[in-house]
Amino acid sequence: MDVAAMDAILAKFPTIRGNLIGILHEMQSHFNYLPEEDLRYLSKKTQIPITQIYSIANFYNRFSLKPKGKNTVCVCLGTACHVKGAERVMDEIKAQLKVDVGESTDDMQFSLEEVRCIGACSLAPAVVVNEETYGQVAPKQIHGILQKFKK
Amino acid sequence: MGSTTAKEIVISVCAGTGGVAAGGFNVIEAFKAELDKNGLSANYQPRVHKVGCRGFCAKDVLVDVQVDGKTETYQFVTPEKVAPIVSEHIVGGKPVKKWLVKKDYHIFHDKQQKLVLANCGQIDPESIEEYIAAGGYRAASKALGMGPDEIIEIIKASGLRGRGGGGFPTGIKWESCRRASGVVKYVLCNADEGDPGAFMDRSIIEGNPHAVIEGMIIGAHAIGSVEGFVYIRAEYPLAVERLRRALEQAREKHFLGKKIFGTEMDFDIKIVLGAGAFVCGESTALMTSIEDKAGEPRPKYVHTTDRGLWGKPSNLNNVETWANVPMIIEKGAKWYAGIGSERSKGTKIFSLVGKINNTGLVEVPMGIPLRDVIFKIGGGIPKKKQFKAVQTGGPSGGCIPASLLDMPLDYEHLSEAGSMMGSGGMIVMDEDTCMVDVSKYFLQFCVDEGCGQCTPCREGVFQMVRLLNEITEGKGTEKHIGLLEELAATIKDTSLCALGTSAPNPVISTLRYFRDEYEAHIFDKHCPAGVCKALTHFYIDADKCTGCTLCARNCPAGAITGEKKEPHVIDQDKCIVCRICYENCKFGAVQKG
Amino acid sequence: MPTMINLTINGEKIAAPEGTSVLQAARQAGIFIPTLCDYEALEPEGTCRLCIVELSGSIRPCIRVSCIQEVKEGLVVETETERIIKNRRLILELLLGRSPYCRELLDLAGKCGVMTSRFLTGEDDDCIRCGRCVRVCRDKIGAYALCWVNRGYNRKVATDFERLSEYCIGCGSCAQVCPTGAIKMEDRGNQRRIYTWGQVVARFELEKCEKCGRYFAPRKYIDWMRRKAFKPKGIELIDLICPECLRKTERPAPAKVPFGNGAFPAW
Ligand SMILES: Cc1cc2nc3c(=O)[nH]c(=O)nc-3n(C[C@H](O)[C@H](O)[C@H](O)COP(=O)(O)O)c2cc1C
Ligand code: SF4
Ligand code: FES
Repeated sequence: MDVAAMDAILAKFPTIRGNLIGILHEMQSHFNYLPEEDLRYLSKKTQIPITQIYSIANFYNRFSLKPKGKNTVCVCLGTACHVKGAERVMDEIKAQLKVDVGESTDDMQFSLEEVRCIGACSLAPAVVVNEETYGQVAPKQIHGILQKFKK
Repeated sequence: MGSTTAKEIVISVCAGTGGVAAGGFNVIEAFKAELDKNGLSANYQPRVHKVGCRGFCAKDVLVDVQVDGKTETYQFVTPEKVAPIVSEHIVGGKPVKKWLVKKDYHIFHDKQQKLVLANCGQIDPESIEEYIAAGGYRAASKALGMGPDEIIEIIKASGLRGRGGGGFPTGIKWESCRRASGVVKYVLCNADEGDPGAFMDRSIIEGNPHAVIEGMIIGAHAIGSVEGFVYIRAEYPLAVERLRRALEQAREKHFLGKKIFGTEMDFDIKIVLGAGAFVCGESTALMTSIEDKAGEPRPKYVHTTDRGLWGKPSNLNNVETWANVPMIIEKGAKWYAGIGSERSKGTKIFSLVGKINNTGLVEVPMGIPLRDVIFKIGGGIPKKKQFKAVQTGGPSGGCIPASLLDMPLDYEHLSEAGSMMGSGGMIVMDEDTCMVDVSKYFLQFCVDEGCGQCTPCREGVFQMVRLLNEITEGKGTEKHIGLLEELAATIKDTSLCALGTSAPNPVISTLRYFRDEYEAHIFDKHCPAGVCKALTHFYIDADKCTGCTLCARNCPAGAITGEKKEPHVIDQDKCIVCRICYENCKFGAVQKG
Repeated sequence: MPTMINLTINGEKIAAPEGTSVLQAARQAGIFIPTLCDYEALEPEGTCRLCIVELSGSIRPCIRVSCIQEVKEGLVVETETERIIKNRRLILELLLGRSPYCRELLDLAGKCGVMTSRFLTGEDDDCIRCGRCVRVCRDKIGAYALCWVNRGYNRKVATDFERLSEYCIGCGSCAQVCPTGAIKMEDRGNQRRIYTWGQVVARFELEKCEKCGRYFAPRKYIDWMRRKAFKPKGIELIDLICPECLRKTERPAPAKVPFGNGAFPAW
């Protein structure tokens, strides 16, 4: 558990009311997931019941209670991407990384996620790796894209 | 030293999410470097700026090169193309013809009427100065000198209706919130834009964030609120960043904060990030989410304009609704009411995606025939395929078949056709799209995204997906359609929130217009579009096959064999029905059966 | 006297105090409306959707849940129209799809004319996700031991991190309000266990009554009772006395606590 990091995050928020999700976002990006100990610390500090925090962490897709890989590969399965064959791209990524959606590779290099529409429909099918968006992705490009992020 | 005699050089590079993904920032850097290299920077102070999305993201990176007031637009610009553009066009005075936009770009824009998007693609969204220079914040300043009731009357008279889905008259909503008792009131902006296939709100915020802020200031004054919230999806990092910056700039100018515009009014806006839950776009869920809870909707027997966020009267409007407000104040209700159809006023932005040539964002006057949007602006269906349907309204909407193509696009006609305006996503489908599969897709979406509180939505939609799965797997029986209809009726009647009550719409509308497809799946065990794997097989028409080997080389399963220049065959046991051969064959030799 | 509101339910003219729900008004008039998530001492949430009724008269005709809808002058309520019955039966079938062996649900379904479900899922889970346990623990007890996790079809009741709860005080209110017995409390010797489908919520050691020697309640719960029930009256409860013995003593009865009857059956 990282008290210093947690206090730094909490210091960014003048009030707790209306900011819980913002705090969890900060924690998610700092720790790459929401560690139990830190959530309990958050609960103590903010007086928000841990069950409420746990419930929120479970409800929203952006939060993860399991550690995530160094790189997040996010395949858009929005309507436009679906119609333009995103499933094939997804299957290819699954095969190459040997993981399912929501899982991370054994070496913790990659986590695979799906999202329903990132609003880049004109680029369909789209894949986002970390912050970088790839448009009109064909299954055969996957290997190259993943290679770029492999250490 | 360049030999040009030009004095004014403005280069506008598209830097919305589409433009950035296509490398927009690299192009900006390349232009700056190249202008420096040619010595133009020193003498002419050229302006290289990023602008919001102009809608035609499929052609990104789009760049406007303006030399002495004369503008040429380039498409698919990459950093490599920058040097020739600078030397031939800017220095030499001769635009590089081969890289200029083609006719389709002009057709795409000609039938549109850009009001909300007028500034997108023209001004730098990160510069409040450019917005002000384009006339921005004049409306807010004017409105603050007017009485709240006067503003509400104008908005009512303009006929503006909510752009977030329901199409509720905005002026009436403001009025009830103004009349609600209580000192503390909130104005909220819904930028959750969860409908898959929709990105107008993202583009507005990325391209013209100040318009939304200005609208909210006007609304806050009319309603009597000192605090506003924008609830925006975390999936839109660029939009969040630009909005954050715009808010800071507005505070610096005293357009937000204490005593704004030099009046007695206080008003500020806070950003609240969503966290990936479609249901949080629903008004009560959005408010619960801001209240630090899981975004579960509440029954709306008391309106949120009376009891909303933290129990206080709250007025929620969509991004596009807010962005419409300043120009109504500026140009008047009469002008605005003159645009659009009888009961749907103004323009509407649609995101045109799917099986369409000109993918992008289009803004058209309400009431324009659907056909114009798809076949004129959209340029029709690629690869000469047949248009089958267009899906509007996202997961709550429905599919509109070819027979209704001449329908005017407005709230009334869309609901009559069994769909809805929704937020404006428009997904075009061709003969290769299976309507059962599409319905299944939307219902699965609702199963994944529903909150799970109430029984009909949680259990009922799940059961509908199960039935649809069985149909697409070839296990459908004559009972399936009846059960689907029975479930749809109950879910519609009894769900707690609008996510549930509208979840069955895709099935209801496809059953209405494409029942034969369901029946083909159930009785003939055949998927006419060749999408459902269990009900499709591909074979090669020996008469058409030229033996080019393309399909055999690309088949991931190694299921295609044949000699060069001889007809090929697909081994049905090995085929995984991935469609690659079908889509790639240049001779139409791969057939679906 | 509260203001009385006049409305019609199933053709019968009824007057009910302002602020009551249509469901309460109907019950007072002896009209049965099936419910699952409603519980008299809890804020209604209106999520099971069984108590739907058709409304008209002074409001636009619509279907709404009667547990939340307040009575309104001139309201016309129909509880048994063809449409309502059809919808209600389907909802029951849907619930039975996941809880096919749940006695209480089968009884209620039977009362509404549903014998079997066409939507069996292969699951056998007595929890019907009415949320009464979560609400009582959160809103009445204030222990915040239970919460909802996941969403959509996977929504379920759990403790934080789905492990033994530190926050549970062992009052058993959840078991008391559960309509199906999916969440249970069990005392064995000096041990109390609260458990659900596949998860033990908490375990406790019970304290002995100083008078009769019977094991009766966990320490945490006794502390809670003291804070809630006795403190407001300015009375200190020093000894550990079970409710039955307490009644026989001279002490004034504690303030009425509507929950925790599992531990204090005499109240
Ligand atoms: C499940 C669901 C999702 C919604 N998502 C959005 C959304 O993403 N953006 C939006 O503006 N409105 C959305 N709405 C509609 C809002 O509830 C609300 O009606 C709207 O924001 C009101 O603004 P308007 O009157 O300006 O349209 C959604 C509604 C439902 C039921
Ligand atoms: S309809 Fe669906 S999303 Fe809405 S409250 Fe019910 S379960 Fe939740
Ligand atoms: S009792 Fe009213 S919805 Fe459950």
